[in-house]
Amino acid sequence: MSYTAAVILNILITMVAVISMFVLMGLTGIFSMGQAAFMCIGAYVVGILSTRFDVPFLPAVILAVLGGMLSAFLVGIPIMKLRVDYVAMITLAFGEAIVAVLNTFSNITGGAMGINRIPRDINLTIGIIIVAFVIYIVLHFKNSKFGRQCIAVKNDPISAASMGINVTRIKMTAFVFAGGLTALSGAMVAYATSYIDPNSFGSTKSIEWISIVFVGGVNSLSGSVVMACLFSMMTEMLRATSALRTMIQCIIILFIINFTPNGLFGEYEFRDIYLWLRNRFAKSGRKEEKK
Amino acid sequence: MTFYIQLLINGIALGSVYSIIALGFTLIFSVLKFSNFSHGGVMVVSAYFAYIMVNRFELGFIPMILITIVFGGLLSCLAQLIGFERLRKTKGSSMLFFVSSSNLGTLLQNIIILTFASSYYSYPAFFPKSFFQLTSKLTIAVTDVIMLLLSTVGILILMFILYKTRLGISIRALSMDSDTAQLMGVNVSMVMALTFFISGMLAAIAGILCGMKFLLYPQLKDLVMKGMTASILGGLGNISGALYGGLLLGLMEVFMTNFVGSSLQPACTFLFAIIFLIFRPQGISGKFVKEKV
Repeated sequence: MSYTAAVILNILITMVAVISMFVLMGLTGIFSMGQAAFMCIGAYVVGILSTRFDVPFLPAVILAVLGGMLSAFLVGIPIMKLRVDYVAMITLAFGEAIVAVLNTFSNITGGAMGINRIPRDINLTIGIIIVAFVIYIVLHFKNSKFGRQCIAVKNDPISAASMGINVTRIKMTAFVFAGGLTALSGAMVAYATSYIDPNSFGSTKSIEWISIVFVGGVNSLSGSVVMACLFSMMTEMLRATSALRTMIQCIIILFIINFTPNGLFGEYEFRDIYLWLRNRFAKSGRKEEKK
Repeated sequence: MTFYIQLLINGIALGSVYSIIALGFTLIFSVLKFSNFSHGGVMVVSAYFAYIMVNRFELGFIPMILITIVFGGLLSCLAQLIGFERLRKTKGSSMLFFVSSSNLGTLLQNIIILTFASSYYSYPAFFPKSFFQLTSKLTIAVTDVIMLLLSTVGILILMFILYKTRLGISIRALSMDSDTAQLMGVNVSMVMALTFFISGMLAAIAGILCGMKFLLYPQLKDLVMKGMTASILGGLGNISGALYGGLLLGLMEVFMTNFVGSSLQPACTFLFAIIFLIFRPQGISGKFVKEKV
């Protein structure tokens, strides 16, 4: 795989992860600080299945997604009724627990050495197809009944509950859905890098994804996608100094949070902007006709 | 038997550090109702500041602590001014506070990484003896004694400020309802800045203690998560709860490390936290933060 292809694939992976965080943070307002743990689960499911049992690409990816959804369900049961802070704390502890478990049971997981020689079964085309598929699903999720209920829950859980929305169930749906998506990105990581170790899935990553979602815009999928693209390109350009890169990123995010709290795209999607432009030009055209 | 008493002592010493982190964390939570992750950043920067004070300017232990505490307070005020003042005035959602504070924390941590590189430092030995021999088998490290003393003093001063002074009354009024407090003539911005100052002072103490107990490295920031866990176990937004939560977490970590080994200890802590929250989501102190319509 050429360098450019690897970079683009990396951007695509970040996109899927950020989109999953968008479902959590942007739509439902769940603050998961250990979302990278689900990425870790996805990557390990693929890693173990493909190196030990020679499972081909598609079944392995599907199993990884199911694994992510199952673990999200198990983690979600006790905490979805509680405040955001509890969710943040428990998901964070879950991330640490997963890393500890993977490091300890080294006969299955390879311990801190990780798993290597995972077949490189992914290429740019497959990556783009996956991202397009994910965007399609999430866009439909956002516009469906569930998505609108999610937004209601995020804006005000109490009034959402008084409107007859089962808040816990909606949060759980979003959490499980996002867990599956993050596991999908993890599966992509495993196939793209062919090597995984438990220590590269820390809370820093999750916080970065959350920030990207907020910079893009709270309710805007387009914003998240564009910002994921821009931020991972910035990572690539400033690869030499990671501390400086993080600082620049933090300062940009602080500025945006303070001065445009709704994010760059606000609540608009590309479609809204397109419609607005079309209406605008259609109107000005009509005016000229009248004159 | 002595072995378990030794574990108990170690657990309480570790727990007192967690308590003091949790206190500063809870103080902000009770006023602004969000988890302040920039607390960890203030901790790290203050700990390194103390290192400079000791190594460059060769200050003694007590003056170093005093200067660092003031520095931590000022830094925390600055963080509040940059990160939260505007958000508070425009009444942003608590999610924005979350993102803002976690980014501030990362920013402060990366300033340290850029200036000191991510290698390890340690304070010089402040005391001639490194531990007290209580009995033939029971020892207690001097740093642990100092830590216990410092955190007790810090907690007592905090309690005094909160329950006996005018500032404390306004802080508690603010934690109940900031709008009404403002109507009653409380200068909200001022009190908010002072609350952050106090929390920064606690963060500075915690930073020095962590630097003494462990080593100085930028990832000390992540200890704020322990403070967060402690304050949740104790009951979010409850000052005395943070104290008990910290001790509980410290004791539990020491005992777990002893029984299941340090590598599996985070997993056990996670299980314990989940089981605890299933049966007692309101924490030890038993008061829920009420969500208002």
